[in-house]
Amino acid sequence: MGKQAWQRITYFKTIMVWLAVVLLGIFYLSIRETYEPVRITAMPEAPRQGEPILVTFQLNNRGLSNFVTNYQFYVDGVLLKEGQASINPLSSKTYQYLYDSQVEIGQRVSFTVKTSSDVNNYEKIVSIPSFPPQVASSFISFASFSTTVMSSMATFTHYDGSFATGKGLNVGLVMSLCLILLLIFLELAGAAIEDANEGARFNGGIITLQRFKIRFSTLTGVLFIIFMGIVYTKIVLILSTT
Amino acid sequence: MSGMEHVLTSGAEISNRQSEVRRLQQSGLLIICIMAAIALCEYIFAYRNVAHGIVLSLALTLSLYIFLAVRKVEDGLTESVESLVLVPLYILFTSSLPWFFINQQYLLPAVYTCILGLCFLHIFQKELSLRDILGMPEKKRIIPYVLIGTIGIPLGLCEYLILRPAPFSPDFSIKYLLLNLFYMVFFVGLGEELLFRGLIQRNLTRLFGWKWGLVGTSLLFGIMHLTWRSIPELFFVFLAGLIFGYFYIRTGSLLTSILIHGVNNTVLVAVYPHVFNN
Repeated sequence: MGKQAWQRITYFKTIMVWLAVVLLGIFYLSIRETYEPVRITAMPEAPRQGEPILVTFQLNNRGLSNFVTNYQFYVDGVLLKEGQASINPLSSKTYQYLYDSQVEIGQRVSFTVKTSSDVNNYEKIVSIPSFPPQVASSFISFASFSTTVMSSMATFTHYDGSFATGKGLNVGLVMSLCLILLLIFLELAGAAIEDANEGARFNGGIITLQRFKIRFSTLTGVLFIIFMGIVYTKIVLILSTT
Repeated sequence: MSGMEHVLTSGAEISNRQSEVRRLQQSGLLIICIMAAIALCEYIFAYRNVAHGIVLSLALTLSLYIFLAVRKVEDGLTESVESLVLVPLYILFTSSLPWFFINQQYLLPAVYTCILGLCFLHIFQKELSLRDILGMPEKKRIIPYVLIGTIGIPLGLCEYLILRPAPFSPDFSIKYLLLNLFYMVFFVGLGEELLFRGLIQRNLTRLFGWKWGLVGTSLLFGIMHLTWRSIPELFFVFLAGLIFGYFYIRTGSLLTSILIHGVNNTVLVAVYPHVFNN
């Protein structure tokens, strides 16, 4: 292998490793953050005198079945909002409240969300101006893409509808079958090409087979990653039901 | 040269030109068919049935790979088709992974990390030069190129007036602005520009010339935004694609189109919603 080829492979591998690190890092952060059943953020972190505070609280359902919970929202211990929320499996519901009271500079305000359901009770408090760590990670998540497929593809309902249910076309099954066939093909083609190389037989069929092998390996890689996603989702679903 | 030889040479030239035109027509027809198939996949995915759209994308990818393996076509056309196959692969990636495990604020970096991986894999497999594709400018040109990126500000205003999106960040602060700018430039801008301008437009330009390369890529870029379900947005994205592609051709650097794209998206979701809502 020439020096240039070696450099090329090294650069490529380095880039791919970093991309994998980014993806795994994002995955780790997501798992860590969405574990909590309630998240609250208050903006701005240090309000000016009289400036309204936007409080966003998110009720998360990490379970498999539809989850109904009662919630109460308090500001400095005073109940301001309460209600009942029905949350789809592996989804969230976000509520916003604009707290328009006159807050003095440096005055501390505490926001509390309490949830109560048949399963458990939970309480989450956030105070400003002291810096709450979760503020750094608060967005009005993807509200801007609410009408697009971009947001729907990020929901469990979309994924479950296309990859898991027995109703209609099961994309997960189609992809898995396609992956199995491609893997068998690549295995057989690899052996045939190796045989031909040993015997120095290069006919049209072998060249075509080589072209197939090169192209299908990319698709197989993509399908394998998707398959891993399907397997991971299934494992999570099984673990959450037990 | 005698009169007879001159006539023979002219005849050969005409014949060559005719076969060249025929070759271009056939290549053009194939590319149009592939683009139409991608448009169909995207349309079904966005408007009809997500599952059918995904399976169609898979079928299209398989068909194109089989076609390239079985039929012996010229190198330029093979390169163009192979770069176009990245689009259905892009649809497969964005629609088939369990993104709901990812916190939504990290969704863009996560999705585009996969797209970048796909593009880098293609560049590595085809032994292309990333340096050539990116066209990194000389130091003295970096500031003018960054200034070109500000074209994204009025462009983003046009898109905002079409889509009127809700803000991407809870307030208009420098922290969120920089975070959005980082996401939009280094993930969305880099990923989409590398795919559309760096690979697809580059290959189509080599095959059909810069005008058709630019128009074809912009058309495909517009088609890939069908998911917004807005006709004015489609026209806007087509025009924006022409602008991104034009600057890529003029400067020879992907940096300009990445910056325009990134700035456009940043002001669209992190600046104008706050400015106009106030």
